[in-house]
Amino acid sequence: MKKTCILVTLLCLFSICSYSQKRSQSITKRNIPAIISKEATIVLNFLDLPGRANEKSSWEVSYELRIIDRKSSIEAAKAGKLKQMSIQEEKVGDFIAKGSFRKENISQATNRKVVLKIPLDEKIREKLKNAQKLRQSFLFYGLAIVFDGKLKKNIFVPLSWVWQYEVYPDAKFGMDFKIEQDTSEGGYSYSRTTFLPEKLPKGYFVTSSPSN
Amino acid sequence: MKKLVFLITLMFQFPVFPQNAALKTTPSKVLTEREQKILLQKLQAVSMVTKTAGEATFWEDKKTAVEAMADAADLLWEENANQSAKWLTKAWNMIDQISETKKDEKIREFFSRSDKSGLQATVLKVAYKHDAELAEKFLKQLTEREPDEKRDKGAFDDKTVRSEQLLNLALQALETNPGLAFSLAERSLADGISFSLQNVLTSLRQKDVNLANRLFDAALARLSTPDEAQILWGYLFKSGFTFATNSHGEMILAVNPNQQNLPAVAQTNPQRAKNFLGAAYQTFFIRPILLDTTENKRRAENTWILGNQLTAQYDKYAPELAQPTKAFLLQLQTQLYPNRQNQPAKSDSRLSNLPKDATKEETYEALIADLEEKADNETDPIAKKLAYIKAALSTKPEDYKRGKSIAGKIEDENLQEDVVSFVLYRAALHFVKKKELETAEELLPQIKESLRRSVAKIAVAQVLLEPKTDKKIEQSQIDFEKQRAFGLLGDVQRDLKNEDASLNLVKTLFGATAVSSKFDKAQGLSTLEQTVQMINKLDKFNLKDASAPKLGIDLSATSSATIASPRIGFGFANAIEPLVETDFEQLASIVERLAAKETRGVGRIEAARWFFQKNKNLLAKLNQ
Repeated sequence: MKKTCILVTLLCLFSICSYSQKRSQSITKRNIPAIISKEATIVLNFLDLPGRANEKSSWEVSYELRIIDRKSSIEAAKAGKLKQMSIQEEKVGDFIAKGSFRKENISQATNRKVVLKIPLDEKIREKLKNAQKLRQSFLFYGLAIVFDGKLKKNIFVPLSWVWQYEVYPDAKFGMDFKIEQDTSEGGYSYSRTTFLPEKLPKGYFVTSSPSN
Repeated sequence: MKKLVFLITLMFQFPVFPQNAALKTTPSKVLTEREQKILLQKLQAVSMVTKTAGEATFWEDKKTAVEAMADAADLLWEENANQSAKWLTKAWNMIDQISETKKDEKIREFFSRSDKSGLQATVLKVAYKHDAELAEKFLKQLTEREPDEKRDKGAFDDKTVRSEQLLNLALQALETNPGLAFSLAERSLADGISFSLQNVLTSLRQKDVNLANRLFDAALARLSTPDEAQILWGYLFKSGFTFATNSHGEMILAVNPNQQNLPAVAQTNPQRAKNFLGAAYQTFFIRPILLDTTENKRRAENTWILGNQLTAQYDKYAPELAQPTKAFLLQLQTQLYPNRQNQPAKSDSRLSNLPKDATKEETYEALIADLEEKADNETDPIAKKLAYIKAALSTKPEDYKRGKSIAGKIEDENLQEDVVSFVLYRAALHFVKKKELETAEELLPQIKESLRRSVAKIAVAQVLLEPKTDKKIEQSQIDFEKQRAFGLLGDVQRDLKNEDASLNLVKTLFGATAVSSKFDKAQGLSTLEQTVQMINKLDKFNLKDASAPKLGIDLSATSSATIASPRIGFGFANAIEPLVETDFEQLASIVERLAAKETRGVGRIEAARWFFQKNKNLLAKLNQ
């Protein structure tokens, strides 16, 4: 497998290194919109898998959306609670919503893309209004079980991610992911890439690194 | 004549070593045909090693190059010590060019062994075997370096890269040189008490009790953290066991199966147990701990865990310290868990409501029932599936019917089939280990996943083909068992024919070769050729990796650990070992068909290694 997976790293994202702390402090006015979105949109885009054309292939996802302020997230990171963000582990932050779905016939592109519209209630929107002071991030705990009909394997793809509100002020998030056949022990590998925000706030930039 | 031409050709092709090799064998006496053949094969083996060591310097894969040069030096030291020392020095210097490979995320939390340290131990081992002066020179360079604090340490990692290297080497030296092992382990203490020290201490004790006592005392003098105390606790009170806490603050346990059933050292050496408890008391249980930072809180939690673990030992070996330690722990508990005070644990789980004298069986039943009930009550569909997987995998391998029944509740046909197949595979290997072959064979057709089924079949075939020590067994019975075994091996070949190339497939094919070539060389060579073709389809393959194929459930990092490992080796060495004596030339020719130069080089060295090993006595005789 020779591919270049663009690993998008948004600077300051739960980084506790002094460099990023200093950098984020230099941003005097955060990118908080005047009108707070009434819903969060999460797009899960399953780009490809070896058994895409196989009628037995399917994917199923369980997810939970939460919100957390920066101070709590640093504490959680120090305590190792944001390391793997498994859906089975103790979750941090405040609950927003949870759900699950299953898709079959995934040779059709429409069955490989899911758009989740999650309403944000008053309590959550209040937090977002105050994000100027208490910086907020959305925590997405997600796990996909993919059955690849060609590989005849059940593949677990972690979909958990952290999106910082000031980088995504419209509360629209998403990720692409794919599975590729290779010659490793398991016979496959997966990669994930988050969507970039439409416009990056001042002081943020995107780094990318090639990985195989 | 043909052989002579071949010999001359080889000598022209590889002029560095063969000359020496030829000189070492003095054919002044009349050699038998077999001896002549062995001498020719020896020249071929020497040339294979020499060629590989020469090429290795230019390989991109420096890790494999270091191993190859160290192996080459080891194999040909007797032939040419000067050249071998040069290879070894080159290998040693090349280690600095190696960058650490990224470790598996799931494993890294427990262990993250350094590649460099393993390679340095490999080179040092060869040096110690052949040239102690050179070894000391390497070791001096190593110990004079600044300790390299390990980043992203796993819970069971050694303190520093340096201590890992020293302890790794100590373990390798234990068998032949306990004094050296002691000295190396003692030097590792400069960086603190490392996880591997317990293994060294326990193994050293079996060789030399006095040295083990001295090493323990030296370690005790350096005791400073609760995790260090856990290492010494295991050595004294529960051999092979080490507790630690992971990044979530949960208690985790590492067990060394080779040492877990040894009698406790404390029983025969109560004074050392008392010394340890005294030192632990002075270090951990008299000074109050502030909980102002995350680090201090973690240390306090570790101290509390250690203290509770030691209370029974204080009662027995140091009763005068038992009361003050308990008082300290109570105080610490109040600080750490203020809400836990006077609140008896309320739980409806069967496990927590078991009486204290519950049997192992009752405990097992309660555990499985709890896990199954938890899964039944889970509402999230994926979490529910994961909970059923956990419950099914928690059953004992022999209790596969229970495991299968729990897995049957997974509402996903493919996942259910995967888990059932794993549970049956695990059970089959368990019954093979117990020599209950009929039960194992009954399960084979039910294992739907082909690699798992193949490995289980190879394991059964291996036992069926084992030499029979019971003289009462009739020849007809032996023949019938052979027939069954060959039938199973034939199934494996058919089953795997259409499988896509993967590491697991190659390992399984090596396992099949290892078993079949003991009884049918032609079949063995044919399977080996098939395997080489598969290897050529992979990006890379380590011919030295003899571990069993990993056929666990993907999500469960620990599922593979619940499998009884079949005794068949799944490495290249296991596959070629039965073929070296009879078919060395064909084997060498198959090895040359490996496409990647590094893989081909390792293949040559492994083939040569087995050749020298198998013909050790004859070669020694011919050298006289």
